[in-house]
Amino acid sequence: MILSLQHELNKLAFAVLRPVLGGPNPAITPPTGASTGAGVGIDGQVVATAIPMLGADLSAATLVLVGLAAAIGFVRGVRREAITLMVAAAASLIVGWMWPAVASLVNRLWRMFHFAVIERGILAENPMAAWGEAQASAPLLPLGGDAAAWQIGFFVFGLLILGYGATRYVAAPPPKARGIRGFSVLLERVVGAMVGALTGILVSRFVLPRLVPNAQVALLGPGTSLYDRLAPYAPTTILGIVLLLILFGVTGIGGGKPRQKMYQ
Amino acid sequence: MIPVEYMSVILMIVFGFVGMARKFPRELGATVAYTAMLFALAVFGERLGRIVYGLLYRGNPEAAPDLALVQWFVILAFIGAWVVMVYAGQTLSFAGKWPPNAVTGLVFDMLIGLFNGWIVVWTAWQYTHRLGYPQQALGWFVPPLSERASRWVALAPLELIPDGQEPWVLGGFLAFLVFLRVVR
Repeated sequence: MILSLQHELNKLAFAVLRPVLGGPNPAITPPTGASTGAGVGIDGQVVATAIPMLGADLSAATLVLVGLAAAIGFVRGVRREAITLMVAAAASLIVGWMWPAVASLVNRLWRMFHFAVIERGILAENPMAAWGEAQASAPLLPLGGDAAAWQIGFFVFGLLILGYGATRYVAAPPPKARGIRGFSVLLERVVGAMVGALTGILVSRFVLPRLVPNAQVALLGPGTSLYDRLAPYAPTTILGIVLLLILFGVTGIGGGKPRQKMYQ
Repeated sequence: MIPVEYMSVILMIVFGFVGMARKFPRELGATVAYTAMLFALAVFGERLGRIVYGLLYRGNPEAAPDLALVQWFVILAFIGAWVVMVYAGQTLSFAGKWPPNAVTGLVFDMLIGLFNGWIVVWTAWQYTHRLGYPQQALGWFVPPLSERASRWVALAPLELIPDGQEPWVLGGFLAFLVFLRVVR
């Protein structure tokens, strides 16, 4: 079921992204004669047999996701977006690198649930047999490489609930709601957009390679047309970003005595 | 032997932790000092090494080692001394209440620490690269350089600034930071 779900997700991603992106990166397009994902049926019609997504350049999709996250960051302000960024980083570490441990834990909980609820636990006619049934039940989450759809689900769910949902209650509201006006508002929003863009990069690097295996997921990978166009402006952009971050940091330093003791 | 690009990233992360420990207001003071260091390097650069080389070996050219090796030692000693001076000496700190809140403060502490680390580590790496890794003679570096390292070393601060504009850009940035320090 999971494999077919992943296959459907891949098909959906390919169907949506391919028209947007144009085509696969010519540098890594399979050579002529290699499988292009299509075959000829007995009636002469072209029949799709596999998904030709190897080496697809998803830098444009990455850019869209980053832009979206930056826009969200602009609206929410840096105080909330900083927490969201940390949640996204933690989620990509836990769900990505530590997936076997997460899946193993969830599978154990699933067996306990299976025993206690489905097999009725110690109220069953034969609890030992019920425990055996629960032990023999198929694991809920795959431990290996077929877990992409589950990983995306966990990541997105965690990010939405903890990163974007919970921050509404634990972090300071956007600047306008705090009664702040003027340049400080704009500055906080712009820096929020930058931090949001970082979250977008994390999200796209986690989600897109799992949707489209072997895809190129680089915001500005060398060789892409976007990279060639923007490269001359990189120093100015980097300097501008650094200036804005410093300016925001300095405006964030409040007046009066330091909250934490500053050793000279 | 650990690849030079990994070593650079590890060192930069160490600066990030230093930033988290010292906090944004003091690390921004360190940024002022590091910008001044970059300015000095942009103006004097490899001439520093040549001057020292000339002073040391003018009368005894037979005993003179490779010029690049001396230049490398001098520039790394200059950068190292500057770092020690910034962290061990009197810190040019921005006064006031910090952090605005715990998480934002932590993020900015780390970011400014990483930024300082990028300035220091990448500048040292850039000069090492430009001089052709002269520490090979001492067995401290084993070629070849990976393709990734070749790409990453081009991200050094002085490499990103267009040729001939270094004094203006760095001078302007330094003036901006000093202005911020004054108006705080």
